[in-house]
Amino acid sequence: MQHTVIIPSHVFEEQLPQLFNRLHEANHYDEISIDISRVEFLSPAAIVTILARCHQWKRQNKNLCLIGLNQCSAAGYLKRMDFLQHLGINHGYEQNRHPPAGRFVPIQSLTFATGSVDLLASEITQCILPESSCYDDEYRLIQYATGELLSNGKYHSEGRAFVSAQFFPKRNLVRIAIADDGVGIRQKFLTTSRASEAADANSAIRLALIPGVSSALLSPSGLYAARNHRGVGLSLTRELVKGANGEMLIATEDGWFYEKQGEIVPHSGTVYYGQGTLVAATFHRDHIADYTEMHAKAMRDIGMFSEGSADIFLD
Amino acid sequence: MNLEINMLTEFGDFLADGHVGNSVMSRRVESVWNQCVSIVFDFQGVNNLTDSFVHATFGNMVEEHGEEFMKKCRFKGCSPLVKSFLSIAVGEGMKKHMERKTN
Ligand SMILES: Nc1ncnc2c1ncn2[C@@H]1O[C@H](COP(=O)(O)OP(=O)(O)OP(=O)(O)O)[C@@H](O)[C@H]1O
Ligand SMILES: [Mg+2]
Repeated sequence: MQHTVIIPSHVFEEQLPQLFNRLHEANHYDEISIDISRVEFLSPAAIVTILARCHQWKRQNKNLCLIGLNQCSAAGYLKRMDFLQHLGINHGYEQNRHPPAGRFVPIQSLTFATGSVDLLASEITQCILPESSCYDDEYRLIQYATGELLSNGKYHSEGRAFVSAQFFPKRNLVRIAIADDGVGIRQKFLTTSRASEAADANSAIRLALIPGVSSALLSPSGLYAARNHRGVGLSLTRELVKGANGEMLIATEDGWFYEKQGEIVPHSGTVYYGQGTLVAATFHRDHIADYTEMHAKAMRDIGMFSEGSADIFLD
Repeated sequence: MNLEINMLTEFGDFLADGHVGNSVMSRRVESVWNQCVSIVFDFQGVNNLTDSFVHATFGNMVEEHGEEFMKKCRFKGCSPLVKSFLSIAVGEGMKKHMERKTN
């Protein structure tokens, strides 16, 4: 049975639930056409969401095809992002590669077996902030957040994670998004001692955001996995986003968490991201001050602070 | 024996992967822990790091060795940012070590 998913013309964070639901409707079909003819703008979160879902469908041996590229006014942008290449489905159009202009990051992907968290995070940051030095506060903040989100995609998702980022000069915003088609946050806690607190996807997101909570640390599978995680990545990224007056979005299965300028924005109605996890962070460059201080404050706000161990430093 | 670990050569200038951090530390440091009188971690050239890395790598080491870590291990060449990250991770590790001892 064939189904066509019409991708909406504009998808910012607020329109993601509509995109999710359209993609979800196609889950039951074996032949799926992705119609991008109306697309004018897709945020990085929308782009990686589509890629993660198409990757899942391909794994399930569904037949996918892309339609409407010739009518799509954002075709040049999507091509420069490497969207078509990552989609990996037959679209019948010639692929003209242009170098990225510096305002956005061509899509990258990683799995547990491939892709280096630190190199990829640095590459993305350089690409999105080409005029910044690696010592700048904004550079280090974006590199940090990208590193934490990529680490989660690589080590927790058990699937393939797609990452993208974009700089919006008019509003001076940097958006980073990473979506995977893995097991999702709820699943990660299922076999842990706190499974009862992750009975549904929304509770699982709340649990994952508690500082110091990691499914690896709670895992009965023992020391090895536990040693590699301390449950700090998501909670610290959230605090840093708040410090930069930004936005943090987490979607997994039917769970949805969206925080804008420190306020949680609820969504009425059902939202179904589907299998896997999407995390997106937006930073206002105008609000990025001294990064060392921003980070120390974020740490204090989650209840972690140093107690004068100055004598561990030789200089 | 005195051991010195050059963080830049081991991990590069951005430390962000706790899995890599842990595996390098267990190979280079934990395996010779008892033979070492002093261990110096040289952070010269390290520009940035994540909490995942620093807590998985040093948080674990401090939690395990507690006072012995404080006696044996020192950090050098740290920028104010690196110092701030390390102080918190070491503090948290010590807190966990104490909790372990009292339990
Ligand atoms: N992409 C993902 N897929 C599945 N589960 C995830 C994903 N990202 C995060 N999680 C879940 O959320 C939990 C909290 O994430 P967080 O980054 O705060 O901690 P951590 O990664 O476990 O530890 P650390 O960040 O200190 O390495 C994880 O332990 C994992 O269970
Ligand atoms: Mg993490």
